[in-house]
Amino acid sequence: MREEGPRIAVLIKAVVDPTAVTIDGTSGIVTVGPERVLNTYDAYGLATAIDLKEQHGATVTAMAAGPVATQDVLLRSLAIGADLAIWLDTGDQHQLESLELARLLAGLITDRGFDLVIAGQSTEDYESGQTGPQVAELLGLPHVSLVTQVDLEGRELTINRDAEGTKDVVAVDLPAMLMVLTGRNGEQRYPTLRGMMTARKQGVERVSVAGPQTSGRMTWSEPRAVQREAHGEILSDVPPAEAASRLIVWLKEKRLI
Amino acid sequence: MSANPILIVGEHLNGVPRAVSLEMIAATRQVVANSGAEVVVAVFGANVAEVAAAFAAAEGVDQVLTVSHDALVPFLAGPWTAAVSDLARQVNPGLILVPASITGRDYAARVAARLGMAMASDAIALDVNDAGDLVVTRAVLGARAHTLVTVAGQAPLLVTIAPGAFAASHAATTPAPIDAREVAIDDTDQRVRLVSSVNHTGGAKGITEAERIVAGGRGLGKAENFALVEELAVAMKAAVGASGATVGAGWRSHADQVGSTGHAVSPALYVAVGISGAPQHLVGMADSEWVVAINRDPQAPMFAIADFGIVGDLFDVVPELTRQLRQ
Repeated sequence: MREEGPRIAVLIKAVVDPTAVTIDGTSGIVTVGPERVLNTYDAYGLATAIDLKEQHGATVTAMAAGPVATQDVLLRSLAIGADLAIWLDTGDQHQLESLELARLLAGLITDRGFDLVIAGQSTEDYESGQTGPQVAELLGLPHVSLVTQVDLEGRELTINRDAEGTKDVVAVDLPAMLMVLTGRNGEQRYPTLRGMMTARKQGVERVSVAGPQTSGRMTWSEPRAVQREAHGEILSDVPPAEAASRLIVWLKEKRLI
Repeated sequence: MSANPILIVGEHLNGVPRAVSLEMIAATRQVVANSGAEVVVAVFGANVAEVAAAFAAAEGVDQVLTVSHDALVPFLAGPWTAAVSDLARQVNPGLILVPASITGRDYAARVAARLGMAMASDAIALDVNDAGDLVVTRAVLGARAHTLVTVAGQAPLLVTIAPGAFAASHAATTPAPIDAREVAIDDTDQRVRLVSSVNHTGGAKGITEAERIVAGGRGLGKAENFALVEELAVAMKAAVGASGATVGAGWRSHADQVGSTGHAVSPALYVAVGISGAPQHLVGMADSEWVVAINRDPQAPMFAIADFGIVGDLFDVVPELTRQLRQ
């Protein structure tokens, strides 16, 4: 590990495994399995950090808050190339407000000292995209979202991002926070077998969160499958050929084809 | 609910209110009925007089505030965070509504953190329960389920509103008054410097400029099945779009992605094939003029915003549609 490069904290979430979600068709009850996987956007964030490590000798610390299954995802991060992995053990407080979670993460980041914080653009399970910008705000860092490429020269980052309708290039000095959309051509990095063995040997550092962290001002119901009302012309139980021809008539009426 | 005002950030695009902005005004109806809170729409930008007038003419708006500042155009999250937060300190709202647009998502969470407010993203319904608490409905797990977020009585709350969830507000009989406000934007919120900005498609007609888009989702099952979408797109002279799930799975390039982590599109026709319609996808396409949904699942949220829908197996319907269009 070289000392001179930037210190990078990569925020990781162990998200609900989409294949472990089942919905009961009649009751609408949604069951979420205990399996957790590395959030795809965070995998891109990690790949971006490891690129910077290879180019500039950065130290990369992967951090994640959550239940026990979070540890496996952090081990995977080590195997992919993170130097350290820290698990913020929030116990069964799965109903933390994003701002409360952001406070915990920002506190940990401040404790350890970092030049650059990288997170994924959003999460695949609850998709609120709130935690990243809130960590940046609490740390007083500028943030850049929807990042597709990062170059570092001295203390200045040049960043490509996919904005709304435009491809932008922006510049910002360290310290800063990035929310990564795809990173380097959308390439992820994968753990090697040797990486997994080394990661298990090294292990994950556990930081326990003392006491309840929630103000209790927000509560969440269990997810339920719910019906929504349609307002357009909806064809059900119509043979494909007839459905197709009725759609074509409608498209012609609206002068869309 | 406190009777503090409701502050709506009235985002606009190319000089007109975003569709979701007008839907947000209607979204306040139940909260207003319960608390009598005033609805204040704030319009941020450079030359906003015309847009402000459009908001003032919408039913349910009590006041429009305009904020003009050079740092607000072109959009960067820092200056917008500062401007919205500063105006919120002046207005002291109990509830702030921000569109769950690609830009709105970039500053809303920071504003909530700066003001210490509770926050819920991508609301598809906004209700008040018997205890007077606000209840926000949001879609999760790829829109396969809903969860209810309840916010205790007096806690100030910021909510981002998913597009297409509420009917747009109608025209009012008397327009609301429009007032100008000043905000402070510190240098610390202007640390990100814009170096260059080019249109996504660089001249070629990509999804952001296309008049017609046929987009595919997870319902296609695997990457190879995107051929069905491509063939239909050729028959319709349309561009090909993709949902976030398919891009995440590596089936399509990010250039094709429609949604909050992809592109926002507003074609005349958007055909969604096997796309359930997560709010994060709707964010990118709800401004389309006409929406067609083809999906096996009648409960798919895409049907709720579709003008024409076919509940059926896309593997039967789409090839048939392509065949008939070719004739």
